Amino acid sequence: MRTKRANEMDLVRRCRGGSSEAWRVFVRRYSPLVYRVSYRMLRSREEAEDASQEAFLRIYRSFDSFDATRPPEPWVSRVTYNVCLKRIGKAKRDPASPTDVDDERLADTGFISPELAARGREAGEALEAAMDHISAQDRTLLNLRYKEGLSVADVSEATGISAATVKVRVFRAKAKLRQHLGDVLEGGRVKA
Amino acid sequence: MTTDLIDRCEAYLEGALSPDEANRFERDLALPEVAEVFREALLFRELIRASTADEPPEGLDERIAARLGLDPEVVKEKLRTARFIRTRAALRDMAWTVRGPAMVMAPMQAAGLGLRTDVPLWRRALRLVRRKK
Repeated sequence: MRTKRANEMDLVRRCRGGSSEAWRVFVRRYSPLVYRVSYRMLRSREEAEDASQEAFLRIYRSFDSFDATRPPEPWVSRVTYNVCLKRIGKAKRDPASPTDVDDERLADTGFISPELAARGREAGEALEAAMDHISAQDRTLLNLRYKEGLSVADVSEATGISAATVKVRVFRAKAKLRQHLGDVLEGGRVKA
Repeated sequence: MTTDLIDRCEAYLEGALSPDEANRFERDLALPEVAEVFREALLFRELIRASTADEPPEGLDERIAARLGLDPEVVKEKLRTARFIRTRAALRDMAWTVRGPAMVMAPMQAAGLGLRTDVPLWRRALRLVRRKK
């Protein structure tokens, strides 16, 4: 763990020094996290890729403001989260936009993208469908907490939501997902 | 289902409980209510972790690197440009180093002294003063 932390700090130091090779490593290491957070919020692969690129541009430009004594995940997540929030806000203000990702509308229709439907994995599909029933922010909280393995404190730092609120929202989001995952959760195991 | 119980399940799964607390929790797992909450917590993690819908597309990191201008070719070009700018600046400074004294000497050239290297400057200046006398 200490070695990982030391490596991270070394990488951050080299990035600050302007090493393009270090930046490439940084991008390789954190782009999956950035993409997953973007996808969970925006629910569109194209949008998620655009948002990921935008998030990295911001990370690159504001890297000096990052506290190098902290692990990068919460800060990287926070930048991405803010980029996505801005995009969602823009899409709501501009309904004609082709990149509209109104999660309330998606929640009403129980929309599943064709791409997901073709995957043929029932549990995965059920989860994705259920995810459409919760808000973009709650999806992100669940993702940061369970997929990325961030602690409640780190999720709080990443989203700017208090730790107590993170716990409550995760609890409620899970309860809501549970309603829509009834069949999958039935019997104590994920259906094959 | 209490949030306290859920917190204990999460803490157990993350290995955040002390050995005593973990033992107590494992004993409590015999209770159907605790077992149910634990099973669900475990399943949630499995489901979300197993989800592949949010996996990044192939080559995303390369595209981001290109957008940031980290392409090897772009970096080489940047280095070339930086080297050119540094060299040009160095040459300009050097030109001033040579040209500066030359310009100072220009009035003396008009007086017929020129930039002779075989006679020291102080001697030439002395000759000029004597000639004027």
